[in-house]
Amino acid sequence: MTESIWIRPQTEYRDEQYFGVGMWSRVFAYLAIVVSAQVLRWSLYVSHGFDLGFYQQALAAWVENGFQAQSTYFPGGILQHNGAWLMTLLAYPAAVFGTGFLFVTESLAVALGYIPIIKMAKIAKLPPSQAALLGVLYLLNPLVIAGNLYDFHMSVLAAPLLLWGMVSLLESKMVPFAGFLVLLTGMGNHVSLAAILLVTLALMMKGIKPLTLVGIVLVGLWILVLQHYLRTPIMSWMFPPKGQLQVHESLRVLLYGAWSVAPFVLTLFMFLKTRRLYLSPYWLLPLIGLAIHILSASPAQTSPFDQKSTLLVPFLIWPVIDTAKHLGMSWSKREHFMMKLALIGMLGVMTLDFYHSAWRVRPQNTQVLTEALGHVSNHDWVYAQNNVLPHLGITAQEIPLSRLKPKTIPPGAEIVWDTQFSDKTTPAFVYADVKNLLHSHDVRVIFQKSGVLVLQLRSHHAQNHGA
Amino acid sequence: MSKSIRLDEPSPESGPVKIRVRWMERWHKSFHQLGIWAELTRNLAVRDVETRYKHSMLGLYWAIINPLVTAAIFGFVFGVIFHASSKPIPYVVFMLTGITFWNFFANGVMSAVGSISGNAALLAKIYFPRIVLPTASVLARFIDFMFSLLVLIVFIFIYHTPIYWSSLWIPVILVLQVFFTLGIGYLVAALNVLYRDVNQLVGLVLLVWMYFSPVMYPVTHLKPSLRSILLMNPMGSLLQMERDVIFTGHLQYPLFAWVALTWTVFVFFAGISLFRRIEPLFAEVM
Amino acid sequence: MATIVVDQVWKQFLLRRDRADSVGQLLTRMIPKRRPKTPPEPFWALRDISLDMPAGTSFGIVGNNGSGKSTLLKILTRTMSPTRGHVHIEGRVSALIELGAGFHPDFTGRENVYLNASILGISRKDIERKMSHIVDFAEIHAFIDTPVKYYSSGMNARLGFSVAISVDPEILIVDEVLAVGDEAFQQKCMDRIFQMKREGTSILLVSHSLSSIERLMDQAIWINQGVMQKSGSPREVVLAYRESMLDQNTAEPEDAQDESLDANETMRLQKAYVTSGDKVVETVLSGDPLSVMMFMENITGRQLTGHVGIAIRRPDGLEIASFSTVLDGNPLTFPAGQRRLSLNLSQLYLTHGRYEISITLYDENGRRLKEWPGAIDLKVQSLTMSPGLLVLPHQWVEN
Repeated sequence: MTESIWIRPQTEYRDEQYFGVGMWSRVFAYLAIVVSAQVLRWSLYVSHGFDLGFYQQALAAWVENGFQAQSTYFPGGILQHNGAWLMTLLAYPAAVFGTGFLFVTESLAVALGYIPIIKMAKIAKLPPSQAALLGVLYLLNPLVIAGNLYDFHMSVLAAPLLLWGMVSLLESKMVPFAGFLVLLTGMGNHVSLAAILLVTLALMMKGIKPLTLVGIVLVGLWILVLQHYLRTPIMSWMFPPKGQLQVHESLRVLLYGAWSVAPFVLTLFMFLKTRRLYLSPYWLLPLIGLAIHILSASPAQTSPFDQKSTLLVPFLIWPVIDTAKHLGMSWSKREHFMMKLALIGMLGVMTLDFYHSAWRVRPQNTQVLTEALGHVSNHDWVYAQNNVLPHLGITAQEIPLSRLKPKTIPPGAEIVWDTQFSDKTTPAFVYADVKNLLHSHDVRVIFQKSGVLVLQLRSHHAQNHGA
Repeated sequence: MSKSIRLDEPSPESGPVKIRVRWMERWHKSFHQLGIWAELTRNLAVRDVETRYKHSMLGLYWAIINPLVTAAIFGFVFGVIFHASSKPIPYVVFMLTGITFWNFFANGVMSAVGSISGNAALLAKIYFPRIVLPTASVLARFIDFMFSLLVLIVFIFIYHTPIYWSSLWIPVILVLQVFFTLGIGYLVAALNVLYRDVNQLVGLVLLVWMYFSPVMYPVTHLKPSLRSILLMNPMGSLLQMERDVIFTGHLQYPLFAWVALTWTVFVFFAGISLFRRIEPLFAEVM
Repeated sequence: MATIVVDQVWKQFLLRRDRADSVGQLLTRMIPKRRPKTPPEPFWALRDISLDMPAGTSFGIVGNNGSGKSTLLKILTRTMSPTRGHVHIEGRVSALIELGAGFHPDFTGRENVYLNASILGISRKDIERKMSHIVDFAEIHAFIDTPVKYYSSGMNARLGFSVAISVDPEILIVDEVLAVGDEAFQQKCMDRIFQMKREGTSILLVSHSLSSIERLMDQAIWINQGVMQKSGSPREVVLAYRESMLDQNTAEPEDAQDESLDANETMRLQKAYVTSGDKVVETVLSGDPLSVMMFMENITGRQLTGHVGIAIRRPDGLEIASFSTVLDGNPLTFPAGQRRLSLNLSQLYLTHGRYEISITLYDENGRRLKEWPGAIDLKVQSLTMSPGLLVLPHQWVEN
């Protein structure tokens, strides 16, 4: 066999410089850091876990009752409620591997979004260092981090799909584009706005072409299915009732806000550096998205950084790539270093945030909580605060304490209550209800130690649930 | 004076069939190449172990005596003087388990550090992927580790410590540990070429690292917050997992297995990435 | 098949004086203080080198020490990567760079043979078959199971060469190794290299032995300070290189004595010709007597002492015979003005063909001052068209 060897200089732009081991080490660095943060928070009982609780229950219900499993919060099946048919794939592995699997799945999905960004940057003929910077701009965007860090949302898994969809748009490949759109529908009805934005992007980029038409038809069909077959209030998902965003004016929101405008700052820098102005038309999409998102904020929201804005980040990154491509600039090593440093500053904020919420404000009696969980039976409905809920494992019968309604509690249900700690999502009236129950002699105290209670409702209380 | 010869790489010819054939060819070729380098790695590792023990009087016994002496010292200091307990496992067995698994990591990293800078003669003259050298030295320590594992098994039987069938998971966890060790090994081997005192630094870091990993103390009785931090350390989590599957029968802290997994993957890729970046400098710096 | 194409290769070394080479230094450098900032000095070891070596050809590289030859070979053997430019190598390369192949000092000779073979992708079985050949060729039977660190440099080189040629390379790269072994081994190596060349192996040879490059190689390049000075037929390249060496020697006089015998200024070769039987001839018959006549002029006006050498060469550079007063041990004196000098050969038994006679001037210490290559062209005619170099007087006897 004859060997053929190409010896090349180290300084050339080649595929391996975009997609080589360096790229993978960055992807996995992000994964390792985020998963560590998630696990540490979880183990300290400070995970918000508000939606994580819902998702865990849904997954466990599928494992137990098949795909027809009913939702405990809304009338109808779970699948009908959220439309995330791809989530069913997660059910069995999640039941086997536990909460950590969900954390890793979500973080890995977000981290893999780095690859299509590099690909887009390469198609736009940007050098590898700029491509990497844009990738970091995505990974460390507060909208991405805040949307997935301590919780689980199926919709966040759509972020890399959106980015891959953009890549197939750039390459004008119809079949992959349609494929990504179909997969996108599997992420649930939360993604509908992003899907419409993606098709709009196709329209803006390619005009009326077979590819665009296929996209429009697919998304149209999907929305019809959501609206008429699954009877999801699709419009209210896309345009939730107009509400006042109750921004909790904390240092965290301010700092996160400062970093989330990084794409705009970077674009501004490019304008200043090249002394040219290029307004990419693609800015329209993220701005529309952001406007809808902020104007239609639900009252429960305390900051603009949640999972719904995560999907706007891909639409924010593309105009930046487009601008860089048009201005065709290069920046010095020093400038590049400074920019990276600024972005990595986001990790510092994350740590601060982490310290603030996980280290200073956390249940002091975690040992007792662990002990208390030992007394919870696995066969009954369990109500628990959101920070405790993930520790119960993935079961179909776990419900966040915030959803407790005295009238609908099934008999035999147990309540785990750490009276010393508030999970910030359970409203005061629920605590009042639990206190009332405690005095009503309808409950039996199974465990009581340093302010942690495990209660069980006697079976003659309340009417049969779920009949 | 010098005529220029324009070189262009062969571009894939048009037609999907040709491209596919090219790809197959390339894959076949790279697998073949990989086989050659794997063979070389294996040879180097075996030779390393052979020469290491051939020229010393006690031969292969070093692999066994080392952990025994360490275990004896620590067992005496912590078990007898400080009365450390590790119920229900006898402290000596507990300790020896920790030392055995930890030593594989520590020795692997220590011998990887000098693997590049100590082989300057080989590097300057012949081409092969330099990553073979640290890989081989870690593998050599893995062979040592297999021998000391025999000692551990003997001790487990002497002390009648009950072990569980879940011990069969050990190879899976060891794969993680090998990759983690390789990652760190690549990192320090490459850095040691640029900075010659990385060697000493690594020794120091490993010492500190050992005390921050549950090598000689159990974490089960610690404060949960402290325990969480100790288990965030991937080596700590790996050691805990290894002990759990042998003596407990299930993972006590399964969530931290994910931490170990993600850090292992990251460290491995980061190690290769840094190594590749520094590799072109090897010939120039040495 | 077995080609090397080097396309505009540049190689830069950063001679960074203030590069930290330990973590300790790195940390102390982090303390901000006023330090004169020395910018990294770029040093181009190779500038724009291109060469095209088709399959089966042999290539020689000549150049002074530090001219970048070794850097080029290191790039070709992939131990370094170029800063700019591309290299494409097709075919299995076996290289022998600077004393011995890549040996692991702790391994025995035999283990190192296996190691090298496995690096080059030769299976253990194949190499075991060749082991006896390798050991025979290297002549180290007694030491093959001794760790290589105890080998002498000659043993090292012998084993290295032996391994390098035994892996059936399609391209053989050899750099100065032959300078180590004793003369017999050098000859053995050269013979072997020749044999491989005949069998179709491409050969890239770096050597200070200019005559072997001139004689053995199909093509040659001359690199000076990283720049390719000349490429082409080995004869032209070596000639150009030799001339530049002479220029260098004259350009840098070392001591006062040199000034007294400055080649360009001191001596001139006015004319030189060959006579046979008192007639000036251009063609001689093989076996005839021959005299080389030289008219040299000392233009310094002083009496000088020196030596003269005469070499008869084939056009391909092979030196057939050389005569020198240095070797014969009697210096010549050149009084001011013209002087005639002649060398008488009673019989010249050369085969039919073209030859040339070069004249070299040395100072009294034997240092070469000036050369007049190909000063005289000579044709030899022979009655018998026998191959080989010489037609020796002979007779057949039937008993």
